[in-house]
Amino acid sequence: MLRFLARRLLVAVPTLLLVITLAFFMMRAAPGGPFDTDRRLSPEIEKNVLARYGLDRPLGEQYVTYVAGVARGDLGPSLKYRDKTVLQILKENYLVSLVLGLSAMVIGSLAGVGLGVLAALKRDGALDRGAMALAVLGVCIPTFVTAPLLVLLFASTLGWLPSAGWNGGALANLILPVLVLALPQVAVISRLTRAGMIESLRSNHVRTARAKGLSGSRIVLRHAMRPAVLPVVSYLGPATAALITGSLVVERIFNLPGLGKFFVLSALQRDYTVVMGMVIIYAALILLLNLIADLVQAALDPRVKLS
Amino acid sequence: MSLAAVTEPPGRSLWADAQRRLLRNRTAVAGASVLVVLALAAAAGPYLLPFRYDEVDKTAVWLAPLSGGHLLGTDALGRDLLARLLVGLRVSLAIGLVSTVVSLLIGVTWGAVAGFAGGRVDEVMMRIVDVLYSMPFIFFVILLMVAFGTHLVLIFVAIGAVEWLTMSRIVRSQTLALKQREFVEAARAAGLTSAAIVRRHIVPNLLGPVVVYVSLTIPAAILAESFLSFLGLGVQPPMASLGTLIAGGAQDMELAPWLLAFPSVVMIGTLLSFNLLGDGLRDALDPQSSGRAP
Repeated sequence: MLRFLARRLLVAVPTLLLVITLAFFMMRAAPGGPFDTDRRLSPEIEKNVLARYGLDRPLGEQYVTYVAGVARGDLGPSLKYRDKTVLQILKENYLVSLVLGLSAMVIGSLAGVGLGVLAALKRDGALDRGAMALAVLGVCIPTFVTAPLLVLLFASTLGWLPSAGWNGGALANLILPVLVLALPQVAVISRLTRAGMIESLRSNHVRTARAKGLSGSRIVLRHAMRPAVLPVVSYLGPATAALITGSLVVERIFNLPGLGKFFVLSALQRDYTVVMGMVIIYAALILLLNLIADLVQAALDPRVKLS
Repeated sequence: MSLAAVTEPPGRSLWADAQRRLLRNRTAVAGASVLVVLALAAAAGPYLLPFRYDEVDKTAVWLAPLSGGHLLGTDALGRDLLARLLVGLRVSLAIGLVSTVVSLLIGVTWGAVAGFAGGRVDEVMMRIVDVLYSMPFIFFVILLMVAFGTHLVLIFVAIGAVEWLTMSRIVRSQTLALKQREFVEAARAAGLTSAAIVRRHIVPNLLGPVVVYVSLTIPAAILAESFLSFLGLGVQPPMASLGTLIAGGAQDMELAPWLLAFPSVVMIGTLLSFNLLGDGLRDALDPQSSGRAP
C-alpha cells in the first residue's frame, strides 16, 4: 500500500512537470505579452516592468526559475492583478468551483448509480427504457444547451429560481448550475452501473447468495452492487476532467465567481502565471482523483492488487 | 452513412453478418437515415436558398420563423437562420469528420505499433498514453487556440490530438490479441517485414472496433468544437458552427427563442444519431458486447 502510494507519487511528478513544461512554452509561444493591452508604455518603464517580473531573462532561465518556484509551493505573482499572488487568487475563488463541482459529483454519482441499479433490476421494463433514453439524451445535450433551456423554464418563465449569480451560495442559486453540471454525469454513470449490474446479477456469487436464501435487498446491496460499481469508480478521474470542463461553461452562463472564468480570460490577457497556476491545480486534481479511484477500487475488489 | 459499404471487403461473412444485424436494428437505421438527410442538407442546402449565411439585411432583423420569406426567421443582423444553420451544420460535420480522421491516424498507428512491438516499446508508449490521459486536455486546446489563433485547421488538429488516446488503447489491445494468430505467424514465416505485417494483416483486422469507436468520436469532436465556440475560441464570425449559433442564440433567447431552439435541436439530433448508429454498430460488429448497455 505504502509502496503503491510512493510509486504513484513518483509517476505524478514527471506528469506534472510535463504539464507545466507544455503549458509554459505554449503560453510563451503566443504572440503579445501581459503588458500590451495597457496604454503604450515608454521603453524605460516597460524595461523596468519586465525586469520586475523577471520577464527580461532568457526563456530557459525563466522556465527553470518558475519550476523551482513551483517546487517550493510558490506560483508567483499575477501579472494582471498587480497586488495579488496567484495563490491568493486561487484561494479567493476556489470555494465556488469546489462547491459546484463536489455537489455535481455527489448528486451525479448517487442519482446515476441509483438509476442504473433500478434499470438493471427491472431490465427492459418501462423504468429501464426511460432511464436509458435519458442516459443517451444526457450525453447528447451539451451543457450550454441545457443551461439556457433550464434558465428559460425555471427562471424566466416560472420564476421559481434565480437565473444567475452566486448570492453567497444560497441553495436556490445552486440548484440550476449543479443540475446542469450533474446531468451528463448521471447519464454516463447510470449507463456504466446498469451494464455492471446486469453482468453481476448473472454471476455465480450472486446466484450462490440467492441460493442461500438471502433477502433481495441484501443480495443487491452487498453482493451484486459491489462489483457493479467498479466501472463507476474508475470513471472518477475522467468525471473530474469532465466536471472541470463543464464548470468553465456553467460558471460563465450563471455568472458565478469561481475559478472557471479566470482561465480563458487570463489566457487571452497573457497573464502567464495565473494560467499556469490553474493548469497545475487542475492537473493535480485529476491525478489525485485517479489515485483515489485506484484505492477505492482495490478496497472494493480483492482481486485488484496495488502494485 | 455508408460506413458499412466503404469498409466492407467482398465475400467476408463477418461483414455481411454485421450488416444484417445493423439493418435489423431500428434505432441504428433511424440514426443513419437522419445523418444522411442532415449531411445532404448541409452539403446542398446552402446553394438552394435565396439567402447567403453572411448576408446582412438591416430591414429584416429579429424576424420570427415563417415571416418575410425566412423559414426559420432571422437574427440581430437580419441574417437568415436556416442558411446559417445549414452552413453551421456543414462546418460542425466537417470538424467532426476531419478531427476524427486525425485522431484515427495517430491512434491507430500508435496503438498498432505498441501492440505489435510489445515489450519495452509497448510499455513506454502506453505509459505515455497514461500520462497524457491525466492531463487537463481542454486547457491545452484552449491555450493552443489562444496562442496560435483560431484557424479551422488548428481546430481539426487540436481536437484530433485530444481524441486519439482511447483509440490507441483499443487498437493496442486488439493488436496484442491478433499477433498471436496463425495468419500473422504465416506472414512472418513467408518473410514479410514487420511494417508490412502491421499494414496488411493487423490494421485491416482492426476495422471492426475502430469503426465503432469512430462513430462515437465524431460526435465527441463536434461537441468539443461547439464547446470551444461557446467560449469564443472556435469558429469565428461571420462563419458559423452549431456551437457558435447556440452560443449566440443563448444570449438572445428571451427576445428571439428560435435562435436558440433550432440550432439546439439540430445539434442534439446530430449527436443523438451518431450515438444511436455507434451503439448499433457495436452490437452488430461485436456480438460479445451485446449484453452491455444498449
